[in-house]
Amino acid sequence: MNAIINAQNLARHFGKVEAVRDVSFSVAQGLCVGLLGPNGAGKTTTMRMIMGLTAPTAGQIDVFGAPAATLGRQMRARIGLVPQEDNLDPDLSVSENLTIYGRYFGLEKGYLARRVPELLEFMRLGDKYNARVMMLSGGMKRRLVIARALIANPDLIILDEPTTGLDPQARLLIWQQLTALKKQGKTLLLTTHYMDEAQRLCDHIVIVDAGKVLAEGSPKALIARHVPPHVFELPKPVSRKILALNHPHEDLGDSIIFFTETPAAVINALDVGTPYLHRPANLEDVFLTLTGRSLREK
Amino acid sequence: MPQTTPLARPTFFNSVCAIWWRNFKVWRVQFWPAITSNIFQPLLYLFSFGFGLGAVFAQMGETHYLAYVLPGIVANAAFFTASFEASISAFSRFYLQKTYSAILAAPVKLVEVLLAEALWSASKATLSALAVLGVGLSLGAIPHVQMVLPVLLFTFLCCFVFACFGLMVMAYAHGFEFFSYFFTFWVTPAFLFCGVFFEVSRFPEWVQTVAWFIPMTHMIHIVRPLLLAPETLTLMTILLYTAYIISFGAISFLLAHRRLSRRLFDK
Repeated sequence: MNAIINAQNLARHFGKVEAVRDVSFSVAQGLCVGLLGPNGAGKTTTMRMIMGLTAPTAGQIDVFGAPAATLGRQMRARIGLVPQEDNLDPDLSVSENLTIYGRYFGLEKGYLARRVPELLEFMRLGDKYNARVMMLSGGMKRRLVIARALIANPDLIILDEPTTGLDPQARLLIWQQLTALKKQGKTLLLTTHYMDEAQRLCDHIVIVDAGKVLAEGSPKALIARHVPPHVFELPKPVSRKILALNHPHEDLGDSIIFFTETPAAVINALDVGTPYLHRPANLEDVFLTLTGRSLREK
Repeated sequence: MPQTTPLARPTFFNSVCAIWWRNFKVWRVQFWPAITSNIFQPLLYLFSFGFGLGAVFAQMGETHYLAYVLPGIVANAAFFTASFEASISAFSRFYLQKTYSAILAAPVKLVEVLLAEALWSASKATLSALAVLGVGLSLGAIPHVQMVLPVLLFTFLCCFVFACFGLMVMAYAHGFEFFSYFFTFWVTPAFLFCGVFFEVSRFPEWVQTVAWFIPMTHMIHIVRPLLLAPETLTLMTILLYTAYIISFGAISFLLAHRRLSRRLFDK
């Protein structure tokens, strides 16, 4: 397997704060890998280390087979970054934003003249060619940031929360286009707080918390390994018969969710007429089981 | 989407040009406000002091006051524009718009960003100086016309240095309020004490010491004789003052780079 990114026992301290304590993972070529974790888990710091923007205090991070910090310009040009904040040039037009960004890569004019309209079409911004960036909606800006990251046709695309704050239509389009990029053989690394997004896009998932890797694997494997396959959500109060089944459960406030291997047993134990919701276990269940349900703000 | 592998040539030269070009494009969008502050403002100074004070002094030694004050206004226009662009404007790119973070995600190094910022500020500031020189020429207030081009080249060097100092201040700033120190203790004293309107030697000694710390004083003491009486200028003076100006810029640039690399790369 050809690893595009290889992190070994990565650590990064900021003074006394340990943002990343011990993170190891690798990203194989052509896969989409999701880096998931609560706010402050160390995701952005890890991505900055991959980009060579922050040096690790300990451990090793290789990109394209060479240490990230010493990656040459030609190799750096093969990475496209979609940062968390929209750092576009607000005074410039949509197309100028892309053309000027292309010049930072030393791309020639002829190539950019073809590439810019192509990318705007790809991100459904074709009719915004001459629009000023400050006139765009949040979803359009986000799509433009993604288009910008693709300007030099990178082999590795790093996306830090690509769809945060977007409406469902915009998210759907971004998902479609990221899937299209994967089909072209691009390697993707993304962070997200949307578990449905991770489950849909990622071949492999790394869950981090407090700077450490808690679990990794394909979405299916993670679900199979960490939570029972069936989930029931029942309103409170829950009957004694259900509690007597002794299934693992979580209190959500006005309702309780039960995890079970045997859905029939739960359905049989329900009083007639009790409303309930039965669904397959998903990545969000895994995430909350591993990282806990309480808020993380300190 | 078609798959064409582009020919990316990320080089030192290409990066610096690309960032300069980026600033130029934004400047073109904001052409009229930029022109107003960078060209018309120095001209207001020139008319106000040239004719206003000129009516009071009439002569500065042998020279007509307008001719005397013109090189000072040239230097101050250059100084002000370069200082403003490299401090507040650069800070808003770095801090508000996160332009530096965007650029550094491309194969560009911080030293290239800062170099391009200084070159851009110097270009814009030289344009301000050129406007004042142009008006000076049309008013016949420049006795040695053949010196305009050398003055312009030397002005570009000085502007680059003033910009480096602005970048250094910007690198240490954590909010826009910080620049009130910069304007109160740097930009305004330069305007008042570096010899724009009269000789620095008229001030008490300690004020002169302060004035000779600010490299605009050295600039004026080269530009004014060049335009008024080049024969009074010795090579030694030119070399010595230029050396001071360049050293000042080099130290500022290194400090700016050191401070910003800590802030941007968590060093």
